[in-house]
Amino acid sequence: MSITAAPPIRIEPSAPRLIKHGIVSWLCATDHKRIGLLYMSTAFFFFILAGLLSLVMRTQLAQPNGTFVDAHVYNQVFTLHGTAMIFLFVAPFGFGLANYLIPLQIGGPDMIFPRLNAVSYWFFLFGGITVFSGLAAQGGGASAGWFAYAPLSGIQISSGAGQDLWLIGLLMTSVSSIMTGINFITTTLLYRAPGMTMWRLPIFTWEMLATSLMILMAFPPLATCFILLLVDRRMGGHIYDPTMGGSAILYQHLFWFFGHPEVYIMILPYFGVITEVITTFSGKPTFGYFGLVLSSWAIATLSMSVWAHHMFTTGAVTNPFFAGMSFLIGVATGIKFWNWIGTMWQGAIRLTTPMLFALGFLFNFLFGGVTGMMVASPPIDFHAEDSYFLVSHFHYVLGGGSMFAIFAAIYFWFPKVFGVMLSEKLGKISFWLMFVGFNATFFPMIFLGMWGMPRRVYTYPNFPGWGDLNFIASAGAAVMSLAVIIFLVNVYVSSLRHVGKMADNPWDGYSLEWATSSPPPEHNFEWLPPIRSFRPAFDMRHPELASQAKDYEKRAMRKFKEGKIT
Amino acid sequence: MALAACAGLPRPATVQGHWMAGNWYTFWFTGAAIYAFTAALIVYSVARWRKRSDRPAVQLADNFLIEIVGVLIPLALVLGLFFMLTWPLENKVDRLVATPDVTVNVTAFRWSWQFAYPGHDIRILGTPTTEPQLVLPAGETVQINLSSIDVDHAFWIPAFLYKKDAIPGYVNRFDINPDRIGQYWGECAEFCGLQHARMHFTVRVLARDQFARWLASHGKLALR
Repeated sequence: MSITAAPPIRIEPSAPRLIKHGIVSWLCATDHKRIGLLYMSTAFFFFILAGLLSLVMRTQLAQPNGTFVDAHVYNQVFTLHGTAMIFLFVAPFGFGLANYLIPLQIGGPDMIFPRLNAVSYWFFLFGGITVFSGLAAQGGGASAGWFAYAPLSGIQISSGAGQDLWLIGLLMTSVSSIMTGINFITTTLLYRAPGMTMWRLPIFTWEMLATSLMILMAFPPLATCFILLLVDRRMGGHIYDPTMGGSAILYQHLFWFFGHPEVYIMILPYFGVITEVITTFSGKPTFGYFGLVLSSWAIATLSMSVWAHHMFTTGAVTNPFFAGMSFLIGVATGIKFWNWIGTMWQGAIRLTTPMLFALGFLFNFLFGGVTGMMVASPPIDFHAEDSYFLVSHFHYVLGGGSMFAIFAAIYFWFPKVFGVMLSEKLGKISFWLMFVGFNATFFPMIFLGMWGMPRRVYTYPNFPGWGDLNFIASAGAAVMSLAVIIFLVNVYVSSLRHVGKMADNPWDGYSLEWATSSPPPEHNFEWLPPIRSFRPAFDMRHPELASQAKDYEKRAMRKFKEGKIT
Repeated sequence: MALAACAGLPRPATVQGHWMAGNWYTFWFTGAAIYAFTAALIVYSVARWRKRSDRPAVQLADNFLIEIVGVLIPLALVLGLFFMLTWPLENKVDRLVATPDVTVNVTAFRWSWQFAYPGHDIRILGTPTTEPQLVLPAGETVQINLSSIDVDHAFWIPAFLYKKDAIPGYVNRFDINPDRIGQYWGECAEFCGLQHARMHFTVRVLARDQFARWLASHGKLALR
């Protein structure tokens, strides 16, 4: 296969926008920066909604035998909280960030399929609205959980239209994700600037490439799973109906064959964010660039063979195989920690707000990783499965991990996107409140789970200690809400401040997006610096240091020729 | 025991539960050690190399030896845990005896349980408001045949450190050996709709002779 023989791709800038301002310009937007912003702001809006729903849950559970809401409302609330956080916030926020950053980081003028990109966004928005519109249906919104196991989600039990709207809405976001994945892969492979070889891609772009491949593998099974459920519900099918020869376990297989790669779709982009932030604020090249890239591909590959660790207690799968594969993912994730610490080692670390959020990510995600290794072991999972231990585990990964990385990303790229710095003072207050509130909420849940509190219960008996730990968790949720409010105030106050022209590279960042103006012009770059290593913007500012760090590509080729890497 | 109290698992009431609690604590303390080591490295790096002057960062990009150590040590650790603990224990816990001393057919439904003792004409049926009681002998092998008549449920007794899903369409079979006399509580762990939170039951583990008397009385013997 000869790649070098392929004809060079000529990048022709599309015609400039005719309508530059006003709501119509946003409705017609095909520019990747605008779509990225639409994605991120919509996802953040869903985050606020899902966060409010979690406050309803924490209020109900603050005391034993709570009476704040009844079972039916609670079940809708936790279903929608999980659905919105997973499908409408954590994953799409990463897509939005990638939409904004990938073309800038690779030195391209836009995404390669701008209209497809716009279609992706609108599918995502209307998918999310469709999911929430279920609340207005007779009988209320979907209440079968974010996993919607059949036969519970079947027509006999979940007879309302809320469940159908939930399914249709998520089908739309699945299609949107698939289109986005195609766009990311093609753009990364074909739209790179001269000199931007694959081994010079910023880690974030590498992570998105692996994420996009997982999207292409994982979302079609989800769409299949949901379409079959719709056939069962509205066309008289019996695919998941064991009383008519169908199979309830088939639903779990299809769902988790999507569901486990989805977990990595929700974390790999943020591994990229954390790498960028730590690298920038350590003033060093990323330590072990190769290791980080290869570990992402290891995670992406292994992620396809671990789905049944969600089914250890079903008695229908070969537990040891899936346990062993899940353990190996722990090794691949360990490499990342090793390299992040290596990046900080001997650096000149600046503790800015994004760096604080990145450090918060490290501590929280590490805890989620350690508990993750525990539940990957079936004899432990037999007790921990579907208990609050699990709730704590995955919130440490998705909340303490992805959500902290999202805030790191917002503080880090805000000056690039809007040409305005967020207040560092408010940012640091917000960080500490969020870190303390988060741990107060989710650390007690470890013990609640070990003592035997199951998930997805709207109430619990007054067993010794349960009320106390749940109360601490609810208080922590209140502290976290305060942190989010301070963040919103920060955005409002900072955006009012008129600072004149923003510097191109306020953080001393290394990748190509820091070489253009803040905010970037419509076609991203008026000119490009020479790309001679994986950190062109850093080399431009620190030519004296540029020679110290060896070019990965050359170094790798040399090692390869010497036989050190095979 | 003090360690156990601090780590917070319920005191196991089955032979299998003791095995799994030991495994739990091995992972728990290994995990705590890994967390402490990694967190200490992070704290040290930040404290030691925080930018205080114009000292430039060392522009080191990789070190093959350090990186390969960072792969091999975790790899050895997880392979060790997997082959020495997880896999053998999984096989031990999942093992079924050919002739159990007692068999109980457990049927889950929305939103309670039925416990039936084949051959003894005993059926104990619960409702969301009246918890059914599962009666088991200590020191004997009990085989549970677990099934569901409607949606997915999960049969969880926290003191046994064990749960199994009840899924419509097939029967899940597992053995437990209760070894501590007492009363425990159980619940449904898989979300099954409106009153999932109320799907509780209790478990009574009796001495062998007392259990035999209870069986002989067709479950009529009052348990105090």
